Amino acid sequence: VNELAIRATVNGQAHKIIVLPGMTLLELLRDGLNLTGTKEGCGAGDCGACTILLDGRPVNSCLVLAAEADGRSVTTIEGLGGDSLHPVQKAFVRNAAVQCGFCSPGMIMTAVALLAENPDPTESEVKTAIAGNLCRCSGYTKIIEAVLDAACEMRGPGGRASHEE
Amino acid sequence: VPLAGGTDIIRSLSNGRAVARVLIDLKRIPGLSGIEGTYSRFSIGAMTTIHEICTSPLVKKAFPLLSEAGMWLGSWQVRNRATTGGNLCNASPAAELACPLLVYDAEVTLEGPAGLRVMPLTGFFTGPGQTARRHSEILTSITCRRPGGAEAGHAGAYERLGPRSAMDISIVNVAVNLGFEGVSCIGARVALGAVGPVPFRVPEAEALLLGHNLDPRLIRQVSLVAQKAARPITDIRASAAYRSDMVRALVDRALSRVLKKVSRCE
Repeated sequence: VNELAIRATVNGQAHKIIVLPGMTLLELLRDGLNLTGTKEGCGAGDCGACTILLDGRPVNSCLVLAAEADGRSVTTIEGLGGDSLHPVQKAFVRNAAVQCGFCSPGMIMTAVALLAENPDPTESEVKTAIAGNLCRCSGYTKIIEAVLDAACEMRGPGGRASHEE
Repeated sequence: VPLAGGTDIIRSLSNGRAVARVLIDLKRIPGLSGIEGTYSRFSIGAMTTIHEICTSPLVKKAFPLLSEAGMWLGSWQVRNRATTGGNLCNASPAAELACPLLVYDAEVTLEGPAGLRVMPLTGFFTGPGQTARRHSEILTSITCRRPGGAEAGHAGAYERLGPRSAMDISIVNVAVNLGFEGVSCIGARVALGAVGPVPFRVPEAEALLLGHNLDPRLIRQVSLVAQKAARPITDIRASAAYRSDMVRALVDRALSRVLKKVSRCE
């Protein structure tokens, strides 16, 4: 099998990685780079557990080949925050939006991308954004509350919601 | 095998439903992505993602059925990868973008070693998962027009039925696009998806609309004609009989929405 050498930025760090042609980005992250925060749920693009940011956009890493990450920037749950938790992670903790936790990394990555694009989303916009992230514990209410809370927190004082619920 | 967004092929490769020795990533070819054009005519690069279609101000304003239908396709994650060209070349009878593109008189440009050819989308689909694209060709762009040009009044609607409001494949989808002069219909397009081997237009239904004023009686007639034109199958999503009834209901609903929009303008 022909191995491919790719260059990708993962969580801010430049990597030169040798990948197999059929390897998914999810496999590369978990098995190659030990970034096991990204979860494999269905492996078919339906559940969103493996959501990562590719050049800032949320994608299912099980539907991206590792080779396609060549020249791109990848952000996983490990790349959020830094020394302390990211505001979205903090909001998930504060709102008890985590039950078994398996969907949380993917859910949080989608939420981070949403808030980067739309700092003041409505509840319905949050629902549309996370439609591809399944929570089998069915804890959606708390998750949606957490995303709205994170949005409020990240906008800071003075950045009041422009639409009352 | 050409690789576009990969949201279907990578899944098929991992579960063994498809085999490919070589994948060629079309996304790396410059010039295959982007939306450009005017209010009456525009062109979409085949590698333009569904998310780009859904968020493009030009598409939303001039070709709104496309952005509306695009939002039904998969999840945000999938829309960020899935491409317009991939949606067409994959040739699902239920492809969300197919009916809106059919009612916008879409033409596809195919390029290969023998050169470039342009064909109407109506002739592009040849069966479930099959298209007129030759193995050595790639789909490079899609061009859309509004019937009657920018001057004519226009109203269209997209209706679809699916088990969930997100992430699900259509049981039936319908697009209609009408051009008006006053209240008289001077251009009509009616397209049906997921009720035949390929998404298709219904010329009999379009002929009924031409030259007439849209009213509830005409809408009922057109819906019945569309229902007759449908050749649905029974599968895991729905029975043929249910699909057939839903064609009538959805065409009725779509045209009624158009009627409402038109009467508001008068």
